[in-house]
Amino acid sequence: MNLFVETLGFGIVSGCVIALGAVGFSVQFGISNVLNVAYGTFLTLAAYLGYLLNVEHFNQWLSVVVVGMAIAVLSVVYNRLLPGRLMRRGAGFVTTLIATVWAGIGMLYVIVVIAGPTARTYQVDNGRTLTFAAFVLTTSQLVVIGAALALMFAYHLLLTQTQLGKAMRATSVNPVVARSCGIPVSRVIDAAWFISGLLCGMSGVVLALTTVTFGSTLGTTFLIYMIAAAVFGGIGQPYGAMVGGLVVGLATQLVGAYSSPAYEDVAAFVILTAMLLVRPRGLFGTAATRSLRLAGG
Amino acid sequence: MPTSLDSAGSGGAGPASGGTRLRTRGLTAGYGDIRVIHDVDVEVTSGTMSVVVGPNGAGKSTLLKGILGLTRVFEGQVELNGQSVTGKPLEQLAKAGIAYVPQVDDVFDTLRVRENLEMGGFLLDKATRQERIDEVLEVFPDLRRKTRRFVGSMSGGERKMTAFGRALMLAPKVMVLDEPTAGLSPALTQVVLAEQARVLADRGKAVLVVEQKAKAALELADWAYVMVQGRVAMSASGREVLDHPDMAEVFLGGGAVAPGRATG
Repeated sequence: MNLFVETLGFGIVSGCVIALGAVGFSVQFGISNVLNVAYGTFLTLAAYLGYLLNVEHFNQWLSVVVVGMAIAVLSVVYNRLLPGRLMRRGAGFVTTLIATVWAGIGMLYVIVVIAGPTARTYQVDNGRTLTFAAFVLTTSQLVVIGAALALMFAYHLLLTQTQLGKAMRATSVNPVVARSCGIPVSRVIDAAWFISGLLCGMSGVVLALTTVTFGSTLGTTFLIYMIAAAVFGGIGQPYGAMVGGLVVGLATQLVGAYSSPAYEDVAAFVILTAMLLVRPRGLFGTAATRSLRLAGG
Repeated sequence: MPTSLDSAGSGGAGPASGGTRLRTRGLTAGYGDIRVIHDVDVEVTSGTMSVVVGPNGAGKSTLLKGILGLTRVFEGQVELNGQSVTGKPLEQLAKAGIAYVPQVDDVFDTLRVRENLEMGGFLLDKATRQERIDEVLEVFPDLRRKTRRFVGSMSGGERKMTAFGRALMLAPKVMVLDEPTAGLSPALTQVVLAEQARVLADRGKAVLVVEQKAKAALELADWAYVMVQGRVAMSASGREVLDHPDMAEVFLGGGAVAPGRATG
């Protein structure tokens, strides 16, 4: 029982971080219709940038924010240079997808050349250890949970209460009509890539902080978790990605605790495969409403 | 009751009257290197409804895309009040007063009715946007009780109303409607054309409609253009086109109206 409750705690922490990254990944797909596989490389890059600050004894939370902003800017630039440019020139979904694979692998090798093949270890300040009933959590884990929930709530407010957020949803569902409303679609897309880069950068550093030791494969591993989370919730659906992140986080931690950590990835793959088989549109997917409409409903 | 949605100079009777005028001059447009429409002249002015009819593949949609800068224009001009807007992107056309309601994907499905209207008024300041929403809801009172509904869950007629309402938010002078009755039942077709599109013209808008359901549209149109094989084969009042003996041939047969015949 204790193991279960402990794992639940870790699962929630891990789930919150995966959810943040999955929302970021989902935003790119939802608004630009780009499945950006290079997202994993940006996670890895964030972990290394965070490490550079960590070596200099930079405050770990401040480094999450700083790296988040840096990846946000890089993400906008990357989209303008590659996927966004290809889409504007009429490249199809698959062409753009393949270009992001190429870019992701290429950038990852550049990172490996610069950083070297050895794993790096963060100096982590976990703060005090707190015990609630059988839950054992450190203050820094609580900060992660709190910040992740706050960020997701902020993103919810952005989408539902602000003109920018509504314009992002409008652009996502119907870019032609968005343009005919006078919505500056390319600026809205920049904003979306900024937000997704921010979430990617912050989750990349927090992943490294929570795993402590990381290498160049960090991004690829967690990208699979995030894709599983995004697909679980219905790809392109931010709330789906949030729920999916928690489910994947809990599932991978529980499987890791009760069998072997080596099977954590398997758990993510099982969730991904099962969801694709049973309900390909995901928990919150909109395929139903679309097909209804095409049927004249 | 006049509102800012009503354009000046309403009640005009025919393409020659004053107010706003959108016209194409010798428009030749298509995709890639393929020219689909040739030398097309159409026009619409404030307070009137012009319809473009013709069989499938006649180039009606290409004409609209050419007007809206959504496809390649080889030759000719699109003019708004004498100024060229040829090839201008949709964002700029919106600012110039041209609203566009596409054929099927005409709303933001995953947004609420009110949010659809807010997005229609994206360019307005907050206070004006709110006033405009109230005005639109007076034009389409059926939407008033449904402003919090997600448009994706609504019926075809309600969706069309939302699309028209969204397009009205910027108080456009010209409304371009691409097959507004596509996918709607015969009863709803009548509602959309007679009670919605026609009413917009009567409120002073210049309304340009491309329509597959020719008969219903021609009965309400002030002016009509019949397109056959990428050219305007006939240009006359809606009534005249309806009464023309070749009309059945155009839609049922192989496009027997010779280009140029009965024009004017």
